Amino acid sequence: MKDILSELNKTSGVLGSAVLAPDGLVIARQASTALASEELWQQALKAFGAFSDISESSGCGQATAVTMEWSHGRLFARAVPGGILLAATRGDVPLGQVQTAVEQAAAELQGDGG
Amino acid sequence: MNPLAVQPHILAASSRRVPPAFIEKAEKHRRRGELDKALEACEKVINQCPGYVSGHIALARVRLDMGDMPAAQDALNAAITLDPMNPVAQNLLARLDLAGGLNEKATRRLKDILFFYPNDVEAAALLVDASRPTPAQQARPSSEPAAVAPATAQTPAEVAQAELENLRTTPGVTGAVVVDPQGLPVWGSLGRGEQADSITAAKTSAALQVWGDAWAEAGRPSRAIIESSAGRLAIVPCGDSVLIVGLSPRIRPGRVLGIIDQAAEKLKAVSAAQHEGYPFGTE
Repeated sequence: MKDILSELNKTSGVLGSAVLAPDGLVIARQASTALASEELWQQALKAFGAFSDISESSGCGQATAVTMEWSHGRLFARAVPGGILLAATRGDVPLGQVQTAVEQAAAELQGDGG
Repeated sequence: MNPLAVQPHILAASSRRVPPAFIEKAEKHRRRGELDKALEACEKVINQCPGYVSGHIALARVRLDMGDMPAAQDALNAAITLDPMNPVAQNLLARLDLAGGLNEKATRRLKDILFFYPNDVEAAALLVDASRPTPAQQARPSSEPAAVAPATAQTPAEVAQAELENLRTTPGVTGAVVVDPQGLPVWGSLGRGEQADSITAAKTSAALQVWGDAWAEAGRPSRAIIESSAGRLAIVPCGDSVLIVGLSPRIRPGRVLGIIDQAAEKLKAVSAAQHEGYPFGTE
């Protein structure tokens, strides 16, 4: 799992990635010291949960992926078997490029874990 | 003719070296408002290398700034003769078409651009403009200039509703709603009933708090896209309010994100105007 995250982190602009269980337990994490705090990833997971709630209430069903953008950064979250894959990037990274890398990592995690 | 095929004269032009500094110089003059100098620099480039597409586009920009639309059109036509699907030239031509009330022509042109460049945000945004009725279609007297049209000042609510209506007619958009700071849906609908809109609005308001608290170091929340098997939702804060847009699962979000951002900007202005308590569009 760490190898898959390391590979994902090689994508231009990706600052770190992690896989968290739905209860917030950090299963794996590969990130710089700036993103070393578990709490940071748990906050991101909480935000994913809040967005998933919106998706369900609007009739779209459970969220499979959420892209959150701030003025200086982005966070990609994707449901994978047994948890959520998260990838933090700089704000100026092309969306498609990272989305493709996250999709690929998610597919590999599915093969790896499932 | 295959518009994507590289034309022989483009190859010939690219084999002749055009110092990029010439175009930079022209652009610098243009931005400073030194239009005669900019014109001179462009003409020098074009004389030196008539097949240089960027030279014709730069000339068109200068002509546009000079207010000489026919000359700008000529320069852009020269650019697309050399490179038929040049998106910069085609978008500028579409703007000229729109300015002249030729919405159908602009629509055809923009659809062609989007066929070859589906992520061209400018073309997508212009296509929305092209779908709006022309002044003639609105049966406005032709002698009345569009610039003085705001004699009928719209209220913030009317402007917001019109903006949402435009958004809802964008291909791939299934619904749009604006949520106020109290978490209540104030304008528009996601199309799944009032109750669903109310719950979604309340949940969005709650999610905004979590979103803002999480990763505060990354700045202010600017946009979120939620994906599910049934579709996507784009959530964009606009001032104190939030815009929620429903998207079809078949559409690539990149194609409409620019349009959504533009709508959010306008709604932000509406929200600000409403807070200031005067009709939007008047002083």
